[in-house]
Order: sequence, then C-alpha cells, then structure tokens
Amino acid sequence: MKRPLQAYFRINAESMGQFERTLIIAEEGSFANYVEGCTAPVYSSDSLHAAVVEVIVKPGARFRYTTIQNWSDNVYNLVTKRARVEKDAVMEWVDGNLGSRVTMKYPSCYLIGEGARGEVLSIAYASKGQHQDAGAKMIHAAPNTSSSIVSKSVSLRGGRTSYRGLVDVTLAAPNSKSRVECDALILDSISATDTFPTMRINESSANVEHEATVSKIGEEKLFYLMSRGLTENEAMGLIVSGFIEPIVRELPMEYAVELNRLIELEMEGSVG
Amino acid sequence: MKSLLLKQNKNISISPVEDTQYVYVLPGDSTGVTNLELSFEKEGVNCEIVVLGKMHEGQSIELTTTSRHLVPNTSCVTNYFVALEDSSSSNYVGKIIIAKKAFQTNSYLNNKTLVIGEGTKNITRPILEIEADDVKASHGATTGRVRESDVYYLRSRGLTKKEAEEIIVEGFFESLVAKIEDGDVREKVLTGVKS
Repeated sequence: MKRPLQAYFRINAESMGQFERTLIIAEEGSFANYVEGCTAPVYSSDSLHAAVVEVIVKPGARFRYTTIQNWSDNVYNLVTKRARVEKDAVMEWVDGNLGSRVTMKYPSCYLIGEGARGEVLSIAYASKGQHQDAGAKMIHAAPNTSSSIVSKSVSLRGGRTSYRGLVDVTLAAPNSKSRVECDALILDSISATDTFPTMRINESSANVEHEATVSKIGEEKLFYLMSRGLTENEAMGLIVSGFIEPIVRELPMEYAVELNRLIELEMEGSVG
Repeated sequence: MKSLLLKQNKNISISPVEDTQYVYVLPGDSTGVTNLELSFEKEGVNCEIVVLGKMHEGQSIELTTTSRHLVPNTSCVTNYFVALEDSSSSNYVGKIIIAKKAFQTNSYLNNKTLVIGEGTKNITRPILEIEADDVKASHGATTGRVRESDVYYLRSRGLTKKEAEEIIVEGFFESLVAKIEDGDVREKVLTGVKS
C-alpha cells in the first residue's frame, strides 16, 4: 500500500471511558503504514482511554504503526501494544506522546520468526502535571533476530518522563542483536526524568547495547542562537526540535509539520 | 585521587569526604559484595567505583551499585566489568540517583559483560532517577561474546584456545586496571582478576 491508513480517536464526553481494540494482520510480503491520532477537548473531570492493539506481521512483510497522541491533560492513557513478527518480517512502532495526564505505554515486538526485526521510535513530552511513562519491549524468540529502540524525552514545567524498557534474549534466539538508545532533556529545575531499562540475556551469543543520557540545554548553544538574533524562547524551541528530529523525520510530512507546530505551541512562554 | 581496595563485605555503604577511587575485585562466586552504595553528602567530592572480575563456572552474582547525589557539585563514574565463564550468571542493578538540590552533578555508569562460556545468563538494569536539571547523567551497557576471529588469530600464532581466551579477558579488563592510580592496588587487582 502506498498511502498510509489513518485512524483518529476523540473523546467527546465528560468522564468517559474509551476502550479501543485493534487487530491488524499484515499479509505475507506486504507493506503498510498505519497512522493514528488522538485528541480530546478539556473537561473538568477525568477520562480514560484504554486500548489494546495487536499486529501480526506475516513472513517478509513490513508494517509501521505510527501514533501521535495529544489527549487533553485530564485523560489517563493506558495502552497495550504488541506485535507478533514472523520470519524476515519487520515491525516498526513510531510513538509520539505529547498529551494526557498519565500515559503508560510500552509497545512490544515478539520476534518469533528467524531474521525478524523490531523497531521502536518514541518521543515523550511532559509538561505541567503530566507523567509520560513510555518505553518498549523486545522479546527475541528466534535465531538471527534484531531490534532497535530509540527514545527521546523532554520534560518541562514540572513534568516527568520515564523510560521503561525490556530487551529479552531467550535461549531460542542465538546470534541476536539489540541496540537501545534513550536521551532525556530537562528544561527546568522543577521537572524530572527516570530511566528503567532491563536487559535479560539468556543466550551466550547475543550482542546487546544500551545507552542513555540525561542533560539540560547547553548554555553555549542557547547563547550562540541568541547571538544570531533569536529570542530565548525561539532558541529553545529550535534546540528541542533538533533533539527530536531523528524521530520526526520518520513521520509522514503532514504529521511532522503538525508535531513541530504542537511543540512550538507547548513551548511558548516556557522561559522566564 | 587515592585508590582504596574494598574488603569482602555483603553491604558497603560509604559517604565519601574526599576524592577516592573505590576498587572491588569479584571473588568469582556468590560470596562477595551485593550492595555497594556511595552517598554524596559533601560538596565538591569526585569519586570512581571500579568493580571487575570473572565469574567462575556455574557461579552467580547479584550486585547493586548506587551513586546517590544529595548535594551540588559532585561527580561519580561507576564501572562494572564482568567476564562470564560456562553457565555462570550476573544480575546487576546500577543506580544513579540525583536529588532535587544536587545541581552540577556529573554521573556516569558503564557496564560491560564479556561472555566467554556457554549457557551464561545476565540481567542488567541500569537506572537513572533525575530530579535536578543542571546535571549530566548517562549510562552505557553492553553484552557480547569473545570474537571468534580474535581467538583464531591468537591461535594461529601458536597459543592454545585457553591461552588465547585468557589474553582476551586480560585485555578486556586492561582499560579499567589502567585507570587505577595507586600502583599497589593495581598489582593486587591484576592478580585478583587472573585467579
């Protein structure tokens, strides 16, 4: 399929519980991209969005599932996402979390066919009152499987981001490879970030790497951009955009533009 | 920076008052340290934790290291290098905790697991809990096995498989051992990791 499939979730009533169930089967050798967006108007009471998404990627197929989640900040977003990845198939989760009060979401790939590959690209953005608890799970259950997780998070105005991840290399998965990279950016002194990765390696031939960093925006970068005539706010926005760029560039163009605009809006007035 | 060789003790908890390098050599079985915590309560102190060694056949280790930064302007580098022989295992939790007031903290954790045997298991959980913004904190963790091509090369030079593996393991620890500034401690560590 050349054009992405699109779905849109909206919560339209107060104190609502929305339970989504999605099953996708990508046939042998197929290629498809599914994009979902989520929004809700702000109500005074809280809502719940609980979803279960399952994807079966048949041999040789390639499937990408993209989410841009921008719930209002009184929605509890608790989501289970998992994919069964068969021989030589590729599953990619692209996960953008900007909204909601609390998000708990760890897209997973069960690599059960030889040569299967799983990828997760994840962005989390937590502002006032928000907690983005996101991550990924990769279960290697066949030989020569590989996985990669890239997670970028930004916390500001008292928000908290957490990365929670699992890389499990079982005895059935000789010659597996996995690489995990998580970077966190903290924009002010009242925000926080955590990293809780687990690597369980029961196979002696596995090659597993994990890297994580936490930092704030460098004074010298800000100073440089401001010396070029940008305001502090613009400079910070530019640095944040650059930070998440490796993931944004994987999105369809309209979504990339939208996401950048959302972040610009969120960043407004974040200085001083 | 002075080097200090830590004694065999199940729980070690230290609140450092001067720049120190804490060195610990694994005994190769499960009798060694299980908890090693540095709690930074004095400003301006820079420390290193160096834990290294080989797990012998069928042995397992459970280890948690923590660097807890409670005051501003401290730094810590944690290194945990382990080599796993046949059917041995390592279960490691490496925590970096930076409290709200502890700005200007610099903390790094590095875990490397070298698999030399078959049927090994290892679980690594490097954890970051960061409450302050003006900090640098990061960790890296890798697991991999001895490269066949390296063993092959050494064997083509006349070494036995066992000798070749020993040299590779020695090289694996070398980068850490070289960081130990105190000559006495370094010698002790060298004999420790060879046993």
